[in-house]
Amino acid sequence: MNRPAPRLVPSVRARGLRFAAGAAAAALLVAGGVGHGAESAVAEAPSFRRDVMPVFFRAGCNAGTCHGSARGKDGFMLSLFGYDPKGDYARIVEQLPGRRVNTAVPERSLLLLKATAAVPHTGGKLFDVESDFYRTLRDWVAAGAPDDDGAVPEMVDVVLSRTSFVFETAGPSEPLGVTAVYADGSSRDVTRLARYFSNNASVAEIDADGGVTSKGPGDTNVFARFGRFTVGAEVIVLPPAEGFAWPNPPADTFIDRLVFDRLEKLRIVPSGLCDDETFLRRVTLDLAARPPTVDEYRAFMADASADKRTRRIDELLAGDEFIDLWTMIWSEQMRIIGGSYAPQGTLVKSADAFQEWVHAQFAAGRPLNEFVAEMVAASGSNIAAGPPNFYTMMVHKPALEPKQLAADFSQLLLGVQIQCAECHNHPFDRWTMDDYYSFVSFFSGIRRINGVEPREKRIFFDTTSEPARHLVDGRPMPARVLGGVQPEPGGVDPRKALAAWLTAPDNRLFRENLANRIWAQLMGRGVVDPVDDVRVSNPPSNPALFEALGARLAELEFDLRGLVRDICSSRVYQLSTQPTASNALDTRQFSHAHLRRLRADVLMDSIVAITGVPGRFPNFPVGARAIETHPRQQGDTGNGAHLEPFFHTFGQATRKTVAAAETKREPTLAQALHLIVGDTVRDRLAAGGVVRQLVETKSTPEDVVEELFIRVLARKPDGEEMAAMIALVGDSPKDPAVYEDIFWSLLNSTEFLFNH
Amino acid sequence: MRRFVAGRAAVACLVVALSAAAARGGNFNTIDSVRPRIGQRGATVEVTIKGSYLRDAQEIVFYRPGIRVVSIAPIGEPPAEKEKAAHWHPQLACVFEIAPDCPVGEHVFRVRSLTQLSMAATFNVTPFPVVDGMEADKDRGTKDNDGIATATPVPLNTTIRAEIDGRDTGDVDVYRVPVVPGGRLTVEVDSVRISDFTHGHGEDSGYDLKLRVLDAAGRQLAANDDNPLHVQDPLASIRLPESLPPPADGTPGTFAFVEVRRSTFSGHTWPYVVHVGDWRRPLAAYPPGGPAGQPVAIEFRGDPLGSFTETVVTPAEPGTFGHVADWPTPFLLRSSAMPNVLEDAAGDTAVAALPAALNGVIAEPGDVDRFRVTVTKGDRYRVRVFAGAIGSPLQPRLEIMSPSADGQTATPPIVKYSADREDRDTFGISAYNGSVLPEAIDPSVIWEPKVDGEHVIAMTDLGGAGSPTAVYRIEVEPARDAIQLVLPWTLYWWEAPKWASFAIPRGDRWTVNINLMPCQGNTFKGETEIVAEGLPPGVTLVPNRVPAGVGKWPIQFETAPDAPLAGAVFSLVVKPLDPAVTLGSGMQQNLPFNNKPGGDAWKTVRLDRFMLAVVDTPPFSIEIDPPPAPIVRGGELAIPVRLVRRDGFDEPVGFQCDWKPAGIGVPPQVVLGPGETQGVLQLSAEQSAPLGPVPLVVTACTKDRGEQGWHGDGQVRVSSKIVPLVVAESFVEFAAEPESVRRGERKKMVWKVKHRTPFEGQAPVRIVGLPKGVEVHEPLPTVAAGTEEIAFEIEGTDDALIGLTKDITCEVTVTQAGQAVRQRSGRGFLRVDPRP
Repeated sequence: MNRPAPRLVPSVRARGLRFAAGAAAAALLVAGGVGHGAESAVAEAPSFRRDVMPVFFRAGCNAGTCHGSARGKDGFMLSLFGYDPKGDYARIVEQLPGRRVNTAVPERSLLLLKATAAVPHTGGKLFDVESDFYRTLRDWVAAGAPDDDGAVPEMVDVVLSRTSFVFETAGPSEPLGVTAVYADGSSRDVTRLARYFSNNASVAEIDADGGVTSKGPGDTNVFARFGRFTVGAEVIVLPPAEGFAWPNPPADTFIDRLVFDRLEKLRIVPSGLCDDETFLRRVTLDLAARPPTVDEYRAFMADASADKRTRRIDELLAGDEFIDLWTMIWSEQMRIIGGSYAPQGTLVKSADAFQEWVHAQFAAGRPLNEFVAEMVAASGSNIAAGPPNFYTMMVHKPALEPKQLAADFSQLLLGVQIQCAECHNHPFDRWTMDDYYSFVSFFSGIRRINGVEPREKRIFFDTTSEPARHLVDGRPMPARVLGGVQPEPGGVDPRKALAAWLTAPDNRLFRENLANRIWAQLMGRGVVDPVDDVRVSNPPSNPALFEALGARLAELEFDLRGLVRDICSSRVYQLSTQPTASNALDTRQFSHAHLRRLRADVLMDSIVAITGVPGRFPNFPVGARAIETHPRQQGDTGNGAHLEPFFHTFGQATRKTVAAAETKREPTLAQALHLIVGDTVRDRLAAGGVVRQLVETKSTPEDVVEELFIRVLARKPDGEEMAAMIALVGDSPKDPAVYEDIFWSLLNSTEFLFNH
Repeated sequence: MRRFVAGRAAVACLVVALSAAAARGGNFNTIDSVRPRIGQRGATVEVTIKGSYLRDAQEIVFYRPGIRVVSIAPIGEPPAEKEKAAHWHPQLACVFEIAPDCPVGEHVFRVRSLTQLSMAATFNVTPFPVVDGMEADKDRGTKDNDGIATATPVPLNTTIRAEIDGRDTGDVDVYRVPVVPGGRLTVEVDSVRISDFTHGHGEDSGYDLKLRVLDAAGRQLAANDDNPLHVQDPLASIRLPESLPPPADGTPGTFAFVEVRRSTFSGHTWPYVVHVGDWRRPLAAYPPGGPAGQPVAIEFRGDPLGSFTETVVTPAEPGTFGHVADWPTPFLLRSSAMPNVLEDAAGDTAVAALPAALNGVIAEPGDVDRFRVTVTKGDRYRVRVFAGAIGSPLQPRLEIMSPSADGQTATPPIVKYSADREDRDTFGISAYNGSVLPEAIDPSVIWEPKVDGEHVIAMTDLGGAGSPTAVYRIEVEPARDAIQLVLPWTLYWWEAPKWASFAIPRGDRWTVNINLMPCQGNTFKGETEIVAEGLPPGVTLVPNRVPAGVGKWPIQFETAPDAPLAGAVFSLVVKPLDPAVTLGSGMQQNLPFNNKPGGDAWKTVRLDRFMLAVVDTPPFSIEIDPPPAPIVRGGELAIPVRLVRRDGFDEPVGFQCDWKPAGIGVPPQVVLGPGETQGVLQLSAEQSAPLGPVPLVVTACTKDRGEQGWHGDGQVRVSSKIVPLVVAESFVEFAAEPESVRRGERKKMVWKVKHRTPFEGQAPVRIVGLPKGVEVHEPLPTVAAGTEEIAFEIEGTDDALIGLTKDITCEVTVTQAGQAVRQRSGRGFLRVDPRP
């Protein structure tokens, strides 16, 4: 809701995610008479910035595949998507005087001859001599190809004629209009100058003139891009109404209400509630990073009270394993790796210090915003304190690179990938090069100096350091928060201000990023997905839910356990994996639970817990749980070669980057083979003595089989399964080898491998 | 830092060999371990020393008084098998008698054997009785003390000696201490600080321990891992709760439990000690020093029962000193040749005059302390901060501002927040990671005010932190000329006896290259002489004269044939030849302890005096005579070397120039086999070699002893006398125009001759570096006085290599004083073309 009203004072720049803005703003525009057809006065001669640059954009001249590539094309370079009009003017008019632009004989300008393919042009014919585009360029050349630097008001916004389309059927088309708004309050229709794309062409297409055509049931977004703005509209193509009846499931939480509202709107029937066995296993794996024990299973199943699920959630939230799991998640994201030889200050001791600090924060229930703020503003020793390691672990390089740090920082803590704006304004988001370099300046003064012992680095912000300089014109860019207006004052450590802005409850980017990551951890997919690619062109699948989760996190004062409790208590979290007729194909709207392969570390700890044979991880004492560890590797931590084969195979985050995609959940053949023939399961079958103990203590084979099922799968075998197992046991009811085979089979089942 | 680069490159080639040797089990420490590592003041302690080449140990020499070695005896015999014997490390059973007034803390020693002086090792002294911290031991009937229930009972005010072992689940040791509720409990661990001198063991933090203090119910009362005072070794001092739960086993009394474990898992076993008691444990001293030789009232802060003030008399000699009251680890304070100024808590502190030591505390986050000093343009001060160096948690940021009359800054401020080791006059530390000593966090700067008047010296914490223990001291004094004499850098991670040991054979001599390192602010560049003080009887330092500005010079000790075999601590002093010049002089040898491969030392043993030993008469000597002719620039000279064998000694001996004069090329070690007594040292001089006399000296060592010749452990070493080698200008210079020759063509290649140094007679010249297939026809030219041009008749054969050849040169051989002196000169170009 940060979107400004269309009549902007010149000094205010358009900010905020644009989806929420939508219809109201468009309506205002029309009401204000600046919509279609209400163009401002047309200048005598076309303006370079206002009229000519858009032609390059629309015709694709300054696209990355053409003259907008870093080195240009065929000897002629334009700034990508027009981020540098001044430079473009110089290249067009001044670089080859009289050639690209021939003011004496405008029609002989290479610009026009190439574009119309009158002379050979690698890019082919872009428009013909009768077109408006041609006329614009020719008239501008004829007028002497004037520059208009400073004479043209800055474009401050782009507004769509509508922000939502709902089609009852596939086939129909409806137009989308695009209006550019300028700093002086003027506006004009740029529908024919904008470029368009759809996020899912099987749901809706959008043509070169903004025509939106429904293609098939589903929901997606279409986008218009003009200048540095990308603006989107939601498109819903409904499935047939016949046969659809909204079941009106209970919706006791805000999550249920928002998800079910969306599903009803999309004519998708959610699945039913999962059974107690499934819930117990799901929530235990999600909150304690292990399967339930047999005792836990029996106690939970024997409990007949109505609130037993909620109580179980609270019990798990109070456990140490929840702390370990979230320490691991943040440890991965922040790339905690300790090495035996790491001159950049990432030796084992410092990694331990950081990990222990993170653990202590989750143990204490520290609000997430405070937790982050302390790291962001941290100075001091990486050995004596945890937080300063934020500035060594994220980097893992001998030199601290402010640009890389800014990019990683933004990706991790805001979910925003701003690095595109290093070389040009972000093509699919709102971030400009000014935003980027101002943000980099928060990190340009960070220094790491040697401490009092070889492992130590001391981190601080050198207040005498120079800010980052703009790539295009070398301007110093004082530190300024993303989306902010006022730069931070010089001579002080600006990270305090950065931390305050970042973690303020009203910073939607931060709170929604954190909430979305928590949601994704529990649901297997973010409302914005990938969670670390929040941008205008990758909108949330359920905008209201996305916003509400972030608002709720702030309302909870950034209490991790509070939001996890909310999510796990929701019916949406507890839905079955069994699809309904209408939701089988849904992957975005949380209409049913999805199978989620266990994280590598959770899988390992589950195998250890079930078999009773402790893990042995490099440089950790025997008995350490995978979820408690972090890489301690020989040598430099910059090489990222620390994963044991098991963890590599099962997609444990390599910690080479901060990207959420580091953790891989996809099943592979190698994983199956590893469990079948690898030593992780095989060597543990008999070693822990679990089977022998069961055989000795249980009176019947059925009891042993049931115990094994509960132990591995957290459920009892059904009649068919029990019969098959008993048949295997045959006349050797006390032979552990048969039960070990059963044990092996269960551990190799896909049911064990997945949370469902 | 730059001057270390060459040294590092030079040893780089050794690294692979060293690693391979280490992998084979080789160890280059003459002392592997000392057990126990600590003894009580006033006690007599049996100590076992394990190492190499210790069988003929004669004496243990400490660097400071307090410990008398009553007896030394080797334990066991070497294995009969040669292979096993090669890796056998003998042990010595010693008895140390520790004087009741022996200084608490670290005592460095070396073992003198018949043939060598060992590398340095340490032994520590505690004021408390030493008790064993017992692990599971069947013989003693003890269990693992890995929990409260099985904790080892120890009395209060004791030092526990124990080991943290390498079990795969990680070792935990717990000690039960009787305590008084509400009283003070202080625990200090020594681990890194008592580590054996050892090469790395492939892991990061094996010596790094952490401690917790628990009550009988397992509740944590205190915990510490690292701290500014003792860096990696933990300490905790707390006021105990007024009530403590009783032990579960019903043992009468109240107890606290001290738990020691590794900070990071390691599979090795290392010794450590824990001091447990109720002594006062301040964390900071304010002011942290005072004028030399005077009493100063110092407030000790940070003790759990409150601060207290004591009067400390500083030593007469300025410097950092360790103060011990009732605690077992010396507290570092400063003795300075200047008065104290204490910060004015109310505002800026006016400093009446410089020099002065400015003392303050950054007590609150964001605090900035400002001292106003009045200086004159042209003054030259050394401003040196002491914070990390004396155990303060402060991360100092020093700023010196020069305000003008209108309050604006007249010149850019000086901002410093760290130091190189050299800034702190500390040299000879191999460090890959830059500055790794606690004082390297403390700035030190030479300040030359650009304007007269009042300036401000400001101090704050770099990261904006502050605490009541964040004390600092800024010593501002006129910059002085001073040079530190530094024993050679340790090689890689070992103290290499071959280059750094003063083991001088009786009746012979030994030469060591000593480094002359200018201290911060030094401007003196004149000639000096290095003299020795405190040499034992029969030992003399050969008079020397060190040219201006050199950074390294060979000094030679000689011993009389009847010099007693003994070790002694002695001093070297560098004195300017100009008696009017005042020059400070100091000594240092910094030894890395407890390294890991590829890393820097966690602990550095720092010595400010040297140790020397007269060792047994060697069975051989090495001799060279002063060369009768100079070596000329671009020329070569062969020096005869004589090996004198005695008493039937017939082993191989290698000789080399450990001292390499500037611009002179010396060969690698030349080995004389059994029976050989004559060798040649082939020297070469670069065109840029400085002219004039330079010292030339050859050292020789046995070859079949020692695990690695490069290192020198176990070798018998002797030195030749130092003789003058004269570097002269070249005789002639040759120059040729670029020339070409076709295959099949015969022509002259003409060289112009320019005379530099006169010589007599005809000197034959040959041409060197012609391409393959270009032949030279006799007769070859000669040069004599007055020759202006020579020519070689060359012919391109059909095999001649087509193309351009560079670096063709002429070699002339001049005979002087009966010695052939070869010299090369000129750079010719020859292009070979095909037949037309």
